[in-house]
Amino acid sequence: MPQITEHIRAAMQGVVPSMIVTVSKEGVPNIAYISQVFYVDDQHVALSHQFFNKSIRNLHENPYVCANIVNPDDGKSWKLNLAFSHSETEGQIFESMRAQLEAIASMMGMEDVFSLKASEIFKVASIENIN
Amino acid sequence: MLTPKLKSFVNLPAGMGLGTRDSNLKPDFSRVLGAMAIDDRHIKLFIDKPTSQRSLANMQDNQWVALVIVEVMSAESYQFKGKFISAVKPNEQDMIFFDQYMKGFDDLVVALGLKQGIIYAYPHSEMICITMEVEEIFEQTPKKGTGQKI
Repeated sequence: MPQITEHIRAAMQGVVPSMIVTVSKEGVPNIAYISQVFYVDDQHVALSHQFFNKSIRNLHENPYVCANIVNPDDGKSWKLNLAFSHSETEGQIFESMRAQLEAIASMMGMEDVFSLKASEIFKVASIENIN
Repeated sequence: MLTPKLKSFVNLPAGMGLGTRDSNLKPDFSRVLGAMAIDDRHIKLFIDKPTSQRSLANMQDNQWVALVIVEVMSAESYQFKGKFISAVKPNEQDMIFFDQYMKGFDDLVVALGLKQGIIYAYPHSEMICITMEVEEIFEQTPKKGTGQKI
């Protein structure tokens, strides 16, 4: 069973934006930058649903996502192979993500642009250390 | 397809990633360490061969590729979707371009407050040049209504 270690969690601070790849039911890959891969527990993460409409459409057709995260301290990176579980628009995870996203938006001067629509919750199927 | 402005954008030392998928529609990611516009429809990009084996197999299998490029200071971003054309070993000129990309990107991340040399932590021992044909371009700069085809 894959486990998100402390070292991997350090890559989820939102300091270095992450990239996610999804695939449509027709088989067309889509890649997007996202502000946040949020740690939920040792086997689950949440992605912030802000703009990535095509990514959201894809994962409702095909639940698989590949996310890349980078530790800002040493540049180490991982690929998280994820399976979509469900969306949340309220509750502890959503509120924590909203607070973290506000901090990221403030850092980037994009307070008026970043708005959390939902927390998309995923089970971590496997983790690959790229370095 | 690739306007002069977009060609200049592709050639920037920017954040880049490549998306592919396998025959079961499972996605894969590869970090792109530099890209250059070859002409109005083609982009050459650099990935690390040893850590990109699955992406390489996916491209050979079904040709689908999606490339995202983000200018890290402004967050201006575009996605280029299209088809895999070839994977070849870089020549001497390619490696000069690759070295310039690494140095340029390293300077940028330092300007953002990260440690110097972080980009060199990413595997880059054996680079391979991928040529893709661009079929669609989407703007992905963070703003309301982003994601439109251009």
